[in-house]
Amino acid sequence: MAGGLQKKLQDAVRKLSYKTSVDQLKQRGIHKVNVVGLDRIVALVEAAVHRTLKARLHGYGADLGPASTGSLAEATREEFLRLLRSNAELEKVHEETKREKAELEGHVDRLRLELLQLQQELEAKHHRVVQRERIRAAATDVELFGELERLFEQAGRPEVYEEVRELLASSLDRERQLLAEARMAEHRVEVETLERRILKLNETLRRTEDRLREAESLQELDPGISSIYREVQGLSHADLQYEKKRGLMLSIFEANVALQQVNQEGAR
Amino acid sequence: MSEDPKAPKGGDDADKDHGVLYIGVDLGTSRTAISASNGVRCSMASVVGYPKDVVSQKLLKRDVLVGEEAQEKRMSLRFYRPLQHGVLKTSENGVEDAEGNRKAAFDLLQHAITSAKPRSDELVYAVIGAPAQASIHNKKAIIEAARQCVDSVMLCSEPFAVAYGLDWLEDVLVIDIGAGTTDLCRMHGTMPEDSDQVTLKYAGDFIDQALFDAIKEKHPQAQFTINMIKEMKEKHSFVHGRYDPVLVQFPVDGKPIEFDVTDIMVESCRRIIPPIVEGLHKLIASFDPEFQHKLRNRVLLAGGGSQIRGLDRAIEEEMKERLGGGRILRIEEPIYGGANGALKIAHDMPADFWEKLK
Repeated sequence: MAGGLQKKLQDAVRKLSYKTSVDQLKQRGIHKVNVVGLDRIVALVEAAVHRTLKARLHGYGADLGPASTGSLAEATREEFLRLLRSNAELEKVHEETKREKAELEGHVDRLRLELLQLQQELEAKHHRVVQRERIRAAATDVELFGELERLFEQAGRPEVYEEVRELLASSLDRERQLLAEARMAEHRVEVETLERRILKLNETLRRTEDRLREAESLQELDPGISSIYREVQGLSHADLQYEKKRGLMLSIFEANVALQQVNQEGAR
Repeated sequence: MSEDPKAPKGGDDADKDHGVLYIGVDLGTSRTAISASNGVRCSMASVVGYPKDVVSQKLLKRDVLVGEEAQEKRMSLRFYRPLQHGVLKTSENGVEDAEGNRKAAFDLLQHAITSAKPRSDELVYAVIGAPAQASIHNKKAIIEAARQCVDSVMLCSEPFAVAYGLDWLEDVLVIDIGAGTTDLCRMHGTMPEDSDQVTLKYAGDFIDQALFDAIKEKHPQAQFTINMIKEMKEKHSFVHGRYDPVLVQFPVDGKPIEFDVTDIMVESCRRIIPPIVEGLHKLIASFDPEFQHKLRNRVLLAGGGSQIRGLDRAIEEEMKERLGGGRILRIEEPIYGGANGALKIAHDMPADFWEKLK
C-alpha cells in the first residue's frame, strides 16, 4: 500500500517536471536554479499527512481503523498533489509576470530610442533646408551686391549704393521668406508623416508604460509561496526526545526573553 | 462522506487567510543561508552594495544590491561585508563606518528573509543562528534587523542549531567551520553554556590569508587578490589523501602563467587543524570522564569551511596523535546544516513562546 502511494507520488512529481539541460538553461539566461531536495518533498508529504489526519480525526477520537487507511492514503496523496500544484502555479505566474515586465521594459526602451531618432531626423531635415537656403542666399548676395557696387562706382554715384543695397536686401529677404515657405511646403508631406509617426509612437509608449506599471504592481503583489503549515506546530508528543527537546526550547525561549528585556531597557 | 465544517480547510491558496511560515537563517561571515517551511532554500554571499553615484544608480536601477549580484558589480558600489569573525561589524569592535555596516547588515538580513517569499497572510516566525559567542550588542542588532520583516524572531547558537537539526542532542561535539570563526560546541542534552563552547578565529578567512601570504612569498611576480585566492581554495582545497596537483593561473605582467600551488594549499589548509584539535581537547578533557570516550567518537563536522577535502581524516589523525583517537562525521549539507537546524527549532518552538516574543 505504502509502496503504491510512493510510486504514485513519484509519478506525479515526474509528470509535473520537465527535462532540460544546463546549456538550454544558459541559453535562456538562467544561471541558477532552485532545487527541491528530497527532504523538502518528504516535509510536504508529512505536512499533507498531518493535515489529513487532523481533518479526519476531528471529532472521531484518536483511533483510525484499517478500513479508513485506504481513503486516508488517497486523501493524503490528493493533499500533497494540491500543495505541489499550488506552489508550482504560483511560481509559474510569478515567472510569467517577471518575463512580461522584462519584455515591456525592453519595448519601452526601443520605443524611446525610435522616438528620439525620429525627432532628431525631423530636426536635422529642418536644419538642412534652412542651412541650404542660407548658403544659397549668401552666395547670391555676394555676387549681386558686388556687381551692384561695381555699377554704382562706374556711374560715379557710390554714395547711393548703401541706400539701394538696404532696399534691395529687405526686398530680397521677403521674397526669400516666401520661397523658403514654398520649399518647406514641398517637404510638408514628409514632415507630416514623421510627425504622425512621432504621435503614434508617443501613444504606444504611453500605453506600454501603463502596462509596465501594471506588471510592476503585480510583481509587488507577488503572493509568495505558501508554507506547508496552516497553524503553529510545536513539538510533537510522539517525538522520542520530547522531554529533552521541550527543555531545550524553554532554554532558548528564556535566553531570548532576557535578550528582549535588555533591548527594552536599552530603549528606555 | 460529509466534510467536517470545523476541520481545517484544504482549499485553494487564494482562499487562504492564515498560515505559519517558519524560516531558519544561518547568518555567516561569508555566506548567509535560509531554509523555510514553504520549501524555499537559498544561500547568498554576505555582502551588500549601494550605488556610488547617480550614474551607477541609473545603470543598476536599484538602491541596494545583495549577495552575488553585489559582488559582481562591486566596482560601481559602496561595498560592505557587514560581518567579521562571525559577528556584525559594529562600533564596539572599532570598525570604520559602523553605521554603514549596520545598515548593510539590516539589508542583508531583510533580503535573506524576503528571499523565502513569505505570503502576506501568513505569520512569519524565524530562528537565526548567531555565533556561539556573539555579544549582547551584536545579538540586539540582529534582532532589531529581523523584527522589521518577521512577526517573531529568536536567536540560537549556530553549532547548537546544526546538532539539533540532526537530532544529535547528547554526547556530541560539533565543529562548525565558517569563514570568520570555527565554533566548537559540546552537546549534552541541555542548552550548551559558555563553558561548552569554544570560538576560534582559525577558519576560512584565516586560510585565505595564509594562502595569500604563502603564494606571495613563493611567487612574488604573480598578481592576485584575496577574492581570487578564496575562489581557488573553494575549488581545489584538500588536506589529506591523493588528489591531482593544484595548478592555477595568475597573471604576471598581464600574461596568464600557470603555478603549481599544491604544497602551499595543503600546508595552509592544515594550519587550522592543530587549534581545532586543541579546542576539542579542552572540551573533551573537561567533560564527565565516564562519557569522554563517547564524546570523542561523536564529532560532527559542519559549516562551509568543512568542505575541504580530507579534513575529517586529517582531524582524526591529529586526534589520534594528541587525544588517543576519535571519530569525525561529516554532515550531509554543510551549507544548509545551520539553517535546517534553525528551521527545525522554529518548528518545534511552542506557539505561546512565539506569541510572548512578538
